[in-house]
Amino acid sequence: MISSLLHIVICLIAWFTPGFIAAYALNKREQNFEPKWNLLLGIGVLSAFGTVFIVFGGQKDVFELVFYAGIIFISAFLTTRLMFNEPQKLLYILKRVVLFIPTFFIITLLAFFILKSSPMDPVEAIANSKAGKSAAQQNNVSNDQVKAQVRKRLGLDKPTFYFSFGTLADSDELHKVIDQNHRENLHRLTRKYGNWKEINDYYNSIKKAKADLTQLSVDSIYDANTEFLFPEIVQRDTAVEGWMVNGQFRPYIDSSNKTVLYKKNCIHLYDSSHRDSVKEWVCFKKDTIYKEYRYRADSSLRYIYKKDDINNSKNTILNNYNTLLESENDAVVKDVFSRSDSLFDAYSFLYPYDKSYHRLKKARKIMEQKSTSWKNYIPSIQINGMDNQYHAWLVGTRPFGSQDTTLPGGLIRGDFGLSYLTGESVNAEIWRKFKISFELVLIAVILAYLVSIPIGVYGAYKKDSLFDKGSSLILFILYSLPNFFVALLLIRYFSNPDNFMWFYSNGYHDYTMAEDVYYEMSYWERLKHSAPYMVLPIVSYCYAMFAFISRIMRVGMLETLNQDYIRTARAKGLSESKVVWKHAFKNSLLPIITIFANIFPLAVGGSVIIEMIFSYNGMGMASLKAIYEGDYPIVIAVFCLAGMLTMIGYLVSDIMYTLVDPRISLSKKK
Amino acid sequence: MALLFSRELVIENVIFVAVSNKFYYPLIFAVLLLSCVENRRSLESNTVYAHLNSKPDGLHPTNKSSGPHQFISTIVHKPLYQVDLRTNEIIPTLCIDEPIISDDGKVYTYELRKDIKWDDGQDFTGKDVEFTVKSVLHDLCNNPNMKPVLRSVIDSVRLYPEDPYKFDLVMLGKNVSNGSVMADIYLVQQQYYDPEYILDKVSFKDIKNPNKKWSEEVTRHFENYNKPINRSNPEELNGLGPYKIIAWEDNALRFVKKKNWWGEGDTSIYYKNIPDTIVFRVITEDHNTYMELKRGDIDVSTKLSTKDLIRLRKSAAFNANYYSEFADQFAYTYIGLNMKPDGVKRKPVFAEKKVRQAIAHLVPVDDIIEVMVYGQAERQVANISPLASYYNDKLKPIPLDHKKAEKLLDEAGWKDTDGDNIRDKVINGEKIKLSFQLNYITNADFEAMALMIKDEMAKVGVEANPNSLEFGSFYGQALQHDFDAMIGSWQGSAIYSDMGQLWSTEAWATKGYNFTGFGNSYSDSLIRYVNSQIDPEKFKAAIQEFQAVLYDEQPYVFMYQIKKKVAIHKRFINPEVYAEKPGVILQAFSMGGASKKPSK
Repeated sequence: MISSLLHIVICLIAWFTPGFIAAYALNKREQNFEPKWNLLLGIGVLSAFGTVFIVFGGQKDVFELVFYAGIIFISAFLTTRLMFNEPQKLLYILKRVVLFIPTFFIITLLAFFILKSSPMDPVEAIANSKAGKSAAQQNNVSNDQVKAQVRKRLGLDKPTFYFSFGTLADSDELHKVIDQNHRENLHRLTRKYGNWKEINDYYNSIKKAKADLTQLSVDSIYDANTEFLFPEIVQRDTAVEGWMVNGQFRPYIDSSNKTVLYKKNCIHLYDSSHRDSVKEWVCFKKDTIYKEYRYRADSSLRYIYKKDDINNSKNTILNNYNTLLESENDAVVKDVFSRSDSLFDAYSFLYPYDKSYHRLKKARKIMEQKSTSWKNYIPSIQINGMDNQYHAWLVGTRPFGSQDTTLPGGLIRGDFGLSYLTGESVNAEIWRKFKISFELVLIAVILAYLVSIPIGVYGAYKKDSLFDKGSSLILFILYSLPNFFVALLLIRYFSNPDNFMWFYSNGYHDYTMAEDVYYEMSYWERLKHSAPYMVLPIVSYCYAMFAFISRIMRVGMLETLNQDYIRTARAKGLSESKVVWKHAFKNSLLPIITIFANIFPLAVGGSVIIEMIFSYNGMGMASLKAIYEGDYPIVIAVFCLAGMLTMIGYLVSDIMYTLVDPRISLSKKK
Repeated sequence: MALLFSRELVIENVIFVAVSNKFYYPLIFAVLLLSCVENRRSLESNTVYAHLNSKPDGLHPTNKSSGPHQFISTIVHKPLYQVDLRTNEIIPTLCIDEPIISDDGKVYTYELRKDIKWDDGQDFTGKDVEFTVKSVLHDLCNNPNMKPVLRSVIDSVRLYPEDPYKFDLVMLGKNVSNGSVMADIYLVQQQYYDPEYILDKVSFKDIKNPNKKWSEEVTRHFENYNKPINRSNPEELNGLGPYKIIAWEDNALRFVKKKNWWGEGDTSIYYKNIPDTIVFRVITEDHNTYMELKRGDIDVSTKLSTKDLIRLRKSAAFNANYYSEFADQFAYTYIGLNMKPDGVKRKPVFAEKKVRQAIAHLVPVDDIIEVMVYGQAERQVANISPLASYYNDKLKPIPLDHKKAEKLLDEAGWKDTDGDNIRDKVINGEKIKLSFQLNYITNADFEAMALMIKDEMAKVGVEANPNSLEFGSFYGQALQHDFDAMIGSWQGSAIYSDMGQLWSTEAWATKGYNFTGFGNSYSDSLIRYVNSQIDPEKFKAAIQEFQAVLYDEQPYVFMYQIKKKVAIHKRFINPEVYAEKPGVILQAFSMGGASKKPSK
């Protein structure tokens, strides 16, 4: 878990300690440092932060170790000088660092609740639920079991937070409902009727009615109808006779005027004295009583239902039940009940299922009658205790001190958990992608600065010259071109055997080389190897910044060059070079520093378009994919890291402000 | 020293060099140019670089079924039997011969080859088959794609204590799929996935009992069994195939040939393991695939876009280096019409057969084939591919015919009564316009297709409103029956698969893949009859009748069967391309073909 907070802390300690010792020794010898060291201090701080990441990237040879050790040493040295010479500045930095903790906590909270309010349910994706709906009901039951298992594994069967702000109407059981659509519908019902108990009864009654109806065998009913042709099976038998009353079979005591028709397990009863009336028929089959059919008065043969009628009725009502489970649109619900009523009225073979249907209707009526929607207006706090999703996410389930990395360590131990979809460690995934994106962004930004600042300064110095106008025109043309278009053009012309096959446009290393081999190379070797892959993405990334940065630089410089102190500098006979670079340039840097602060969050966000076009598997691609697929542990990690790095970026830029402009102070004015 | 590092001096020097030194920008440019490419690969290496257009969603042997998973699995796993890609017939893979079928057609007795070994050297026996079948049928197994099909066919596995290589596959009844249902199931090793033999304590009877409560032990077993196999744990991939994974990377999955693999020496094409290494390169963007092929950096691609292959074929370098082909495949594109909308949010515009038939006459399928896929597709009129022997060739493609469509709409009572150029009709007292949303997955080709359809519909007073959706919403709306019409496509197989998944009324009622609400007792009984029919002639007659029913009802406007676009490097000798997935047999690719070096 390289990117865990613990590692970063260790790294920072490693960074401070040798520098502190060295600086202390130096300080003993030489009491005062000149302020000009401050710029190097800024550079040192930045390189130190960069080094933290580079070192984690792994260095392989002695040269690199010495090189990085040198950078670390210098950075640390300058930081500790600060400690001795400008303690108030250090205090300010420390305050800001301490403030990171509550800010980060708020960011995690925000991230967590954004995750929770998202419309996607990871369980549906993991349990392949949509695929599972492909066929028979039994498979849905099976799929529900898998979903329940997944929910338990992800801890989603727990309450969301230590406490929940809600209303009196809210239930603390809603999160236990497995199906996402059902959960959402129950939530809507709660908002509408505010009586959870009745809503839950209604929900269970729909599920019961659905489960009952699923048992209806179209073939059995159809077979029963077609097997017993009236003339063939007329037999008298007084052994078992009865009548269907409200769905219950009641045997007759006096059977003198009753006729019993039977075959196999079925018995058909009718009142022989009233053959012109509609009669009840019952059939015993496999211990189930079916109210079979009616017969017409004008025929001695019964009326036989079409198989289509049985089939369509069953499926329509099943579909209606599914709709009730998932929808609370008044018009839809009304229509569902109206269609179901007419089917139950029309087909007596549905009689055994009529009971559960009426129970469901009754439950619905009770829910509507006992509506306590006012409860939605009364706020309430529900205390859920420590066994909740946020706690598990924050603290994990691994005991402190345990080395068992199979258990989640929680965010406070720098463990963002496992990807919902792949089961991979989010830390490993994010770190791998971050390195790729950060390298790309850093080089692109440095290149943008290297190109743009001189253009901006020179443009301001030679205002309205041919260079100024020409460079502005060219840069603005570039600025107006969308980067996906430029990227595709670059590929077409510079990564195409038909034109110039100069660079690669797919990935960041040679596909014939395994990634392990690539990462075993030293950093410089890797950089050299990746250079042909990086050129086009970097150019696509930074060309638009040329216009942006150079114009900002130019404006800042123009303003500064018109200041009195510049005139004074010229008046006292300084060379133009000194006037521009020593006096004007430094004071024009503030807007540029502000932009620089954005590098860090940029690296976390990555550039989706550039990464997609160049198949550069960095943070942009990872974030986009995670959002699309509902892989929220990754989204949340990106969110938290972006927040954290934005804070660091702004701290760095604040420090840099004071370095370039002594009028800006980080300490409180006395 | 202090002077050298003074801030002003540093800045001054840098900027001075930048602006006044004419070598500054050329220097940056030179650094960029120094990054120019070197030649990357040797065409002599015995490695196949195959293209995947998306990452596999995991490589679990039984729980995943995405296209990339299927492609990769062919070199890692083996099923009991498989489809012969040349003849589309089932042939034994791990069995010695065809099964012996009992008189009642319910018991299939198989005898396994005795030389088959797992990677740890253990014998592959009937116990592994029993374990695999128990696993894939079990409630707690996360394989909802396969489970319904298997459960509708397989009853149990019976072992022979005296012969560990012999077993009976007991079926639920006579079913056309009895002899092919295991063709897509990769065998898993019990010792590897269930070292404590927990599933031995679970009977097939228990597995089929929907009310069975599972013990903690079984639940835990399936938690482990369902664990995805991904980038973080590729070493857990274990199969009977000739290759094993050595690396799972962001853009590639690398497989090497197993040493002393049990199938070595077998002459069948399905037991070849010629390449030393097979690398699946994940290239998701079409333009990158195009460029990689131009550079000669992919050996095999079956996932090209039609447009790209047509462009590539104009390049002499590509033609010198690649065989390319527009090959048949079992896949079709359709427009689904919602026959049973809720009537509230979605109006019943397609409830009548005549309206659906009219719509079929208004879809310019031939123009779409010509314009959108450059003629590289064939008309398909029902759910069965024209490649199948039981395709109903008496059904003729429905032509674009405005007059016929107008007549059908008039007959159905849809007329423009208010002069707004959109037909309307009063249904249940409500005046409804013949206007609908045409959903499609956000994609330039589908968008153009939807616009072509809209234009044709408008000519006879039908308003089609194209509605672009991302995949999740599109699919979700289809499952919820919350759509009017949708452009979709299905990928099929040479083997018959239960039509009930897409066309039974139950699949509509349970919000499954029957999006449109097609079906009645007759079509359901036909499906059941087809599924249960093992007499080839009766099967053919029934399935052709089913196609005729679909043709008549038009729940889908069946459009076309699009061709697969394949490019294979010429450094391989006589590679073959098949209609059945995955379309190529990578492990049989043999070096020695003539090709030019890829252009730089």
